[in-house]
Amino acid sequence: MATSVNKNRKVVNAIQEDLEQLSSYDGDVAKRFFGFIRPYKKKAYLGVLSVITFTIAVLAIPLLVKFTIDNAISENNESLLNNLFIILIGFALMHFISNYVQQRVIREIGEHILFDIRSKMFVHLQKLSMSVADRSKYGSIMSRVLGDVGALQELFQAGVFAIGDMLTLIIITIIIFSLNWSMALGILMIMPVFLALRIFWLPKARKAFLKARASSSVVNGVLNEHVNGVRVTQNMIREDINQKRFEGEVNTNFNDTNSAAKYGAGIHPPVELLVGATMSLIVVMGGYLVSGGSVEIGVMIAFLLYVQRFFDPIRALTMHYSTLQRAMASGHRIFELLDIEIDIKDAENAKDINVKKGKIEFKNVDFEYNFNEPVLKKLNFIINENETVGLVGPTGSGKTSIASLIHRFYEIKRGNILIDDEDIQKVTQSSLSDNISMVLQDPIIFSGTVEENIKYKATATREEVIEASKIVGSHEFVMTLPNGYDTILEESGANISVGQRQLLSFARALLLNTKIFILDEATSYIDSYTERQIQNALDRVLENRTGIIIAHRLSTIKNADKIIVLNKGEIVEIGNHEKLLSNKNLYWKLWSNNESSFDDLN
Amino acid sequence: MNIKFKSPLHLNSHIGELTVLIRIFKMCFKFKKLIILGFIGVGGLVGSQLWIPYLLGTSVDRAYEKISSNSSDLNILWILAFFIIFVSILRGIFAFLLQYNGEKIANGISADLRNLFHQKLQSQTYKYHDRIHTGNLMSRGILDIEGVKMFVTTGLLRTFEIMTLIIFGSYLLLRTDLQIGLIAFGFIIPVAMIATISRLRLRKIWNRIQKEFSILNTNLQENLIGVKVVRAFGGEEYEIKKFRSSHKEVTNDTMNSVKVDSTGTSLVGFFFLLVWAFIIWVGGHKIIDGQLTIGELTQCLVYLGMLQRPVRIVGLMVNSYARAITCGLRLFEILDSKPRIKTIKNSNSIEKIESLKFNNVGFKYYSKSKKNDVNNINLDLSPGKIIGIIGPPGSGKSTIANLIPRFYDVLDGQILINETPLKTLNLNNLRSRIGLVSQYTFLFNSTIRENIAYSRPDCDLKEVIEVSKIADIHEFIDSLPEKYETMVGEFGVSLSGGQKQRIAIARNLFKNPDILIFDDSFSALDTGTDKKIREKLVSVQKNKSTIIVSQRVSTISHSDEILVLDQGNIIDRGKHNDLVNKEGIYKTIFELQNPKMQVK
Repeated sequence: MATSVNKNRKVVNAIQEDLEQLSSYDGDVAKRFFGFIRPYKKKAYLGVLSVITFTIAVLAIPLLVKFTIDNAISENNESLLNNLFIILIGFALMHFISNYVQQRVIREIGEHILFDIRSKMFVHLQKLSMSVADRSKYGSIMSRVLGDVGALQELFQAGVFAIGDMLTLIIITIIIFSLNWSMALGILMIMPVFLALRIFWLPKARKAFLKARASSSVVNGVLNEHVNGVRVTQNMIREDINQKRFEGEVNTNFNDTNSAAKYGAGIHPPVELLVGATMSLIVVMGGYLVSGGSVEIGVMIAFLLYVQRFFDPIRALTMHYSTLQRAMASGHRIFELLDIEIDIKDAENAKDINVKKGKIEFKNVDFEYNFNEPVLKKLNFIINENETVGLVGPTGSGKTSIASLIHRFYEIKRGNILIDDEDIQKVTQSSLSDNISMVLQDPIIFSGTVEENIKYKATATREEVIEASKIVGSHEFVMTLPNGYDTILEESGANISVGQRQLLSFARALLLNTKIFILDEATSYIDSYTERQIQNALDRVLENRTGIIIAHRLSTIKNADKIIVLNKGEIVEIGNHEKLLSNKNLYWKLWSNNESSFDDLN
Repeated sequence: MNIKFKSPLHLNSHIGELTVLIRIFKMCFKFKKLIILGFIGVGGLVGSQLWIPYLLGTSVDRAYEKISSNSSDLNILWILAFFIIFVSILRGIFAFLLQYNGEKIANGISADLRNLFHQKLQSQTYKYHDRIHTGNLMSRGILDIEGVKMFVTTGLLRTFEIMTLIIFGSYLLLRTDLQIGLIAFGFIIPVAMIATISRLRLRKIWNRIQKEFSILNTNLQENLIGVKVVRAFGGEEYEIKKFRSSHKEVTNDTMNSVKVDSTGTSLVGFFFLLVWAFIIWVGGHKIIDGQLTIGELTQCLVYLGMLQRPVRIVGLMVNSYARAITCGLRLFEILDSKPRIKTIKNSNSIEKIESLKFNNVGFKYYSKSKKNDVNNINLDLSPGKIIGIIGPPGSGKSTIANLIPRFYDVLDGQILINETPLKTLNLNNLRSRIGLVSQYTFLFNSTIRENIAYSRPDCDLKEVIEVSKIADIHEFIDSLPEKYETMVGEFGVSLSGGQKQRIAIARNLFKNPDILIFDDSFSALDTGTDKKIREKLVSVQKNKSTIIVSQRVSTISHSDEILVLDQGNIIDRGKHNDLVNKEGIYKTIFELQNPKMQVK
């Protein structure tokens, strides 16, 4: 099918673009990145020092060999030979120590930086308001925090090792020129050919490699999809078609990996040829020079030993270049995240609030998520101490926004929200959340035990946890779990039902023991049974508390002290069940049609 | 946070470790041509490689002789140079042959394994998929296949390359000079040991890091998904602490791995130089004593340099064998599993379902459970009839639905279709006659059209539109810019729960089955849409049977028979009007959902 081929191409392209999204060197990114190295400055100096020491140790050895051959062995000087042996051992030790230090120090700093950047990003993410969270896709944030930071860390390591590689090239050039300039010149003529070969080959190999990786991602994506959808597939008896499709993708990837392999292995013949040519050059030139007596035999041997060391840094440096490109792109993405402004901050003289009464007042509140799309319009209402208030209205009426605003998840455009007569913009956000409990529409379960989930951040004893659990009616089902409160809940609570998850998040909110208690459409995904259970629990929970129940089912809020009916961001009517019925307005219409939910009003 | 990792499947190693390796090797034999070419690469590479030290040593000697004796002909240098280039070209070509063919074999194995893996999972039962999570299966399908692939790349041809290089290299070294050769063993043996030990230690640490990292990953993900809870509970500080502490674990273990790795590599380098120094020292004295030439010493030094890489790689090799065994064990466990539900020999096929009967059907999901999850289910369904099933969560409603297309096999009693036991029917034939709209809607990353026409992709758009209209989703699809070609799923437009459910309904209508089962599949629809769809279904289902599982009374109240389930048993059955006037679960649910209509 043409569409499906197009579709898959689309996916491949998306992945490929993502992988190839390279950007050039950017001084700003580099400068900010250096800021992260600063705390480890001393260690970094040690790292660079050890890289230099290591390079010297490596490069000194062929020179020592030359010296040994020309000055001790050829001159039959045995005592010098013995001394040089000791010196060689000394260099071996120097090599050992500096190698150990460079590897350890540099990689350790890398890990520290990794940790620091990730922590900083995480802390920043915690401070951003809900409006940012609503807009971002968590997948892209995840890949920034985990993947991109890794690439930046790689840059640091590659950077330090690149110093060693550059140094190696420079020192070798100096040494071979001082040993014999004509032979050195000969070798230096070959090096550009090698460099050109690498520069010509690398992008092509990279492209082939990326293509293989992209098509492999597609294979895994299709596999994932087919495993996830296996029940539908068997229901639709599509096993054979799916198998054929999958095999098609596997085959594409097989060809891609093979062509990548061709590139990977294809570099060998020309490189070996160049290495061979260089060695032959030394053999012929060196041979003539040595036999002519103008050059000592040790020099020829030293040249032979240096040649190999000359190719490696060039190879490494061309590799580092692509690391740099990748890191720059990653750096951009990281700093982009860190640069998102924190839009809701505590006011300068913000003080902690301690809610005693639980009175909530909205004064002329205007609110919008997006510019010029008002969600709440000049909203005014008061919720008194210990009142239970139901907020109802069709989807988009703004009822959920009200709950979020009491908690200051978003900033209002105009007006004031007061709790116990204090403007919530003038109190600290942390104290605000200490005084408000919320049960949300989607019950969120964190991986961990049942107890940990009920406790969340609270410090409570097992007894307190059980008590809360008993009040909301989750105790019974928890006891049927294999390890009771110590049962480990899987990712997003996959091993318990939605209703059970909601009961746990209800218990979690209760354990906070706050004056204000909000149920934000907490019963919309659950069955009538669990709903009844929550209903019963609510009566107990809301004793001596101010309660706000947001619902679209009428049965949930029927018994509230006060019901606020909203439509399109405005209050239509306020009153208790009986009063609203006598109003013969929106509420009555719904009730008399025997519709159970506002969403049924078309 | 202590999150314990459950062992994915009880690794009860149904096959031995050696068997795993043998099976992997056997899979490779399929690629005979590539293996032969690869081995030519191995032989050629080792053969040409080992000439180079000799050629270099000889060149040094020829050049040196010229100084001392003034006799040798310098033309020999040109010949030697020519040979060096010649051997280098050969070496390049053989290295290409080795690597290219080795990777091709590995790619082939990987492709084969992927196909087998996919095929097995597509045919495995619901029960199997219930038991093993997708994440777990995916990590096997990705990481374990990768592990085996790596092993084939490094383990198969490279092992021979490394071994022959070490053996012949050592032999040539010993032949050049016995004493120096023996000193070289002072390098080869400890280095191979250090490299192996540190690799195996690293492997352990890496496995640990991988687990810790996946916890970190989960932490981050949950923090992002649960952002509202975090904000609502003021859990920011707590979350930061949690993140840091789980990241600290990763960092600490990475630091450990850095320590082990740095020690290993720097020790290897040290031993190499130590032996190098000894060779020069001993060799130097021998040259002075006239027992060795400078060329031969050079030759030894180059040999040693040449042995450095393979000896180091021994560690990697051992590691890749160890990894292949664990990966292979896990992989073959899946590949060797047998689907329990399949068509028997001499099965029957049916044209149309005329009747469906449950005779005292019982079933449980876990064979270890003491109680059945559904028990003593009896029902009788004929064309044109509707059965409604209602009951509290966990009462077994969906279970009954899933038994009909044999997604699970009954344990007690029997299900009969056209008076024939279900198990004697051809599985695909049976499933093609039944449409089960599941409670969990899954859409594929594809177009809406393909998602609806999933059972028969090569069809007319008209057919797709027709069922979409019945499912009350046509208008919506038509309002999208690309209409039926709109992509849905991960890369496409996001749909509401209700829209997804309606696509799933359309998908099953498209199958044109004899029995249509709705397993709580109106739950995300508002009561209005629910009603609309049911009304449209009436004409379609005139001569067909329908089963509706629901938690909503209004969805099933029109059924010809309603089964009320509780704890796996049918506790009541009858028509709406009868049930609603009796004290019991049905009445309670009805009153909960219709606060105004208290039955007096």
